[in-house]
Amino acid sequence: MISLRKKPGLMCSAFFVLSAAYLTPAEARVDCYALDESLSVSRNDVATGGGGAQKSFAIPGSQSSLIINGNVDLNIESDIAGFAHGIVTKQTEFVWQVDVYFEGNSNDFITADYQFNGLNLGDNRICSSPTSCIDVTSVNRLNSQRQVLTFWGFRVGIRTRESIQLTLDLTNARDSGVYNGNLQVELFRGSDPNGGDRRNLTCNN
Amino acid sequence: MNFLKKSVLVAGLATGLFATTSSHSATLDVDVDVTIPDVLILYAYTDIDLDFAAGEFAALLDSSCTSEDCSSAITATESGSIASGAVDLGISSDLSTTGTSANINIQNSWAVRALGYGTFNASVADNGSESAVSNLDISPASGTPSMSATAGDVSFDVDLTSSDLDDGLLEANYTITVTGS
Repeated sequence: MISLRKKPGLMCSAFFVLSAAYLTPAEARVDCYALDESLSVSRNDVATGGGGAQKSFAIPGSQSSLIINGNVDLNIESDIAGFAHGIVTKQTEFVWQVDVYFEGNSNDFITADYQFNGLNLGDNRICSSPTSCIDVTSVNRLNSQRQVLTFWGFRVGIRTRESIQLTLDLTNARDSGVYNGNLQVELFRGSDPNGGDRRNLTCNN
Repeated sequence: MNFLKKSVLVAGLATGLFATTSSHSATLDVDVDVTIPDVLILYAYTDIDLDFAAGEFAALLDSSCTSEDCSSAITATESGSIASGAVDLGISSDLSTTGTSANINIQNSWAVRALGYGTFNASVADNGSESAVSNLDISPASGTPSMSATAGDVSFDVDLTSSDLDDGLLEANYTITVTGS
């Protein structure tokens, strides 16, 4: 009987010894992740009517003009502008993720600046070869998501992720296939969702 | 007690899972790949009404004319012999500047845009034009396409002596074909 009464007490003592080793506060930590993105431009994105690879498009309406010296200039380029789609807008999935752990009641927001680094081919370009590039005319925030991270029901951190919208100018593109771009994302802490005081963020990973 | 156990265990596990490592500045490089399709698009007008500018048609017949009703003096001295009160000056042989055909060039009347094709080839074929229309041609016949429009011309000859012109209307019908390779 005596031994039966002592066992729970011993187990509790052992538990508190072990617990004491873990009672030091968990250190704040920031993990930053780049999330690679693959986008596809469809034929519908670049031409009215969609369909196959090679197609024709009849410009509607009657063209009237005068013949002068045997020539008449119909200036079709001005009419094509209404049907041609050299500018394409694409939306990405989340392109970065920042997980902030154990920062107590901190309510910082994470925001980002974006820049396509074209290496030796120039910034704001996505290229398939030195002679065939897509110009990135704008990068805009699309959807910024904040999510509480929990562990066994306890809040341990905040995960922030953001998707973007790209405006691509295909005027200087010549090749089909895959174009590779490097999007440089600079992350900041801030006091509000729009960046606020924009303090530097340091990643631990 | 249960709450304390849970808290301690959470803190312990979390600390173990997220051990601190070295830090660096918060800049990320994201690989963004964009896949572009191959596509070639021919644009063309399908209904073109043309009129000759004032004096234009007469000028095709005689380059010295600048209006539809004009006179053209043949300034070289003409001599002849009157026989039976008549003389034939044979003016037809002196009308060397008179044209019998005209070339009509419809500039920038078609265009091509393309991605993924290194070359395009263009051709034009007659598709039921009146007989006064001949020598249909297209320019450029080939080129390097891009997403910027490459515009081209279609030209043809008109037989000015043809009866097709008697009603004052001439109809040319043609088909443009552009292929990429």
